[in-house]
Amino acid sequence: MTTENKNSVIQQKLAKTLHRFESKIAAGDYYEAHQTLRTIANRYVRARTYELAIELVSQGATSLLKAKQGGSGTDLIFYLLEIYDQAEVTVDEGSTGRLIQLLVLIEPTEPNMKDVITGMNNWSIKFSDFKFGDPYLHNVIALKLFEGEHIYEAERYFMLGTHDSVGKYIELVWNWFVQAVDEEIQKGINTPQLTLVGDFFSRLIFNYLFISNIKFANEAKEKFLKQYVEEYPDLEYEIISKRIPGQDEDFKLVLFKDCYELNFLQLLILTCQTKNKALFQSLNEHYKELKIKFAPQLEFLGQEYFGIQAQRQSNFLQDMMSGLLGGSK
Amino acid sequence: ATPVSEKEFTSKFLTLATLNEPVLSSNYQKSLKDVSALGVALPALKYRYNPKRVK
Repeated sequence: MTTENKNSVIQQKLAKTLHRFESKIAAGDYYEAHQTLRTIANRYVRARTYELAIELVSQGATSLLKAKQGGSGTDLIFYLLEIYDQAEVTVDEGSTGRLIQLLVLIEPTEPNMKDVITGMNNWSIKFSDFKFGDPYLHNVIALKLFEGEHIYEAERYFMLGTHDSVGKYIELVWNWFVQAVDEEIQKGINTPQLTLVGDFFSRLIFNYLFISNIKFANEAKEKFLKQYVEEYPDLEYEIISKRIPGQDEDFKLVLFKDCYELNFLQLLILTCQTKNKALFQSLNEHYKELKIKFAPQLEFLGQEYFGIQAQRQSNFLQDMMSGLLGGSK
Repeated sequence: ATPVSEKEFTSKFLTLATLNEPVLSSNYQKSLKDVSALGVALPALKYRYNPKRVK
């Protein structure tokens, strides 16, 4: 028998297995379908015909998830990841795309969802050059976590995503800010936006500066502030444009009369670009209150861009508190 | 010395910061393959985000 014939025989067998599996799913016989498929996939794995096992298991998981069988569906995803690991499947469009298609089908309320996400990301860390995982995968993971209302986790994956993720991250922070303002207004507070905006805007700027993504920091600055001045027409500000040598676009500072935090954060991006330690220090000196408020963030940026070694004055209580408050929700 | 106004400060600061071409361009992105630290965890906000309330 030629290889071609042999392959087509295998393909036929696979198609048959899947067909039988689908009829069981249609009949509501999920347990039986799940078990049979696992047994056959096992056989493929033992014979090291990984491609077939991958095909079978991912199609099986797809059908189960579509039939709202989250438990069995995610079980097969874990199995698929085991096969990926054993077969040393590397991160590429095909292998990641298969996981993304499955991820999209998982219900955001599925109890296993976070574990599935961790499993997928760990695979992408192991079989790619990305220390924190594949950015395309992150973009979908972030959306899924967001749907499941795991906001802080979603934020982290958006930050490590693709260009597509930037717009979504800005949108998330913006909507969150608007909700916070509403909440304060309901309590009878006047113009809460002035005191709240910095807390939200700073998340975008710091997170992108942390990973040295000047482009995304600038994009977040432009889009968020544009929305801010449009939403609140009473804000007092002026725009100062400055030519930056060697750059196509001017640096635009939206100088706010009533929110120096926004002014500071905008200048911080430009300062990081210069990598000039004296400028960084003078910025921090002028905005003394923010130097204290953002101490851990600025300490990190000091090391990252300006080579300032942190003096490790361990403040046990503060470290413990930030550990408790800074993690997940 | 009288404290410098914010307007005055930013104006001088911008002049100094734009004297030379910046080390990192305005569209610089470190490849995520080279990112080995994520910075510090930002403090949690005291406002809950409600995805269902988005206008």
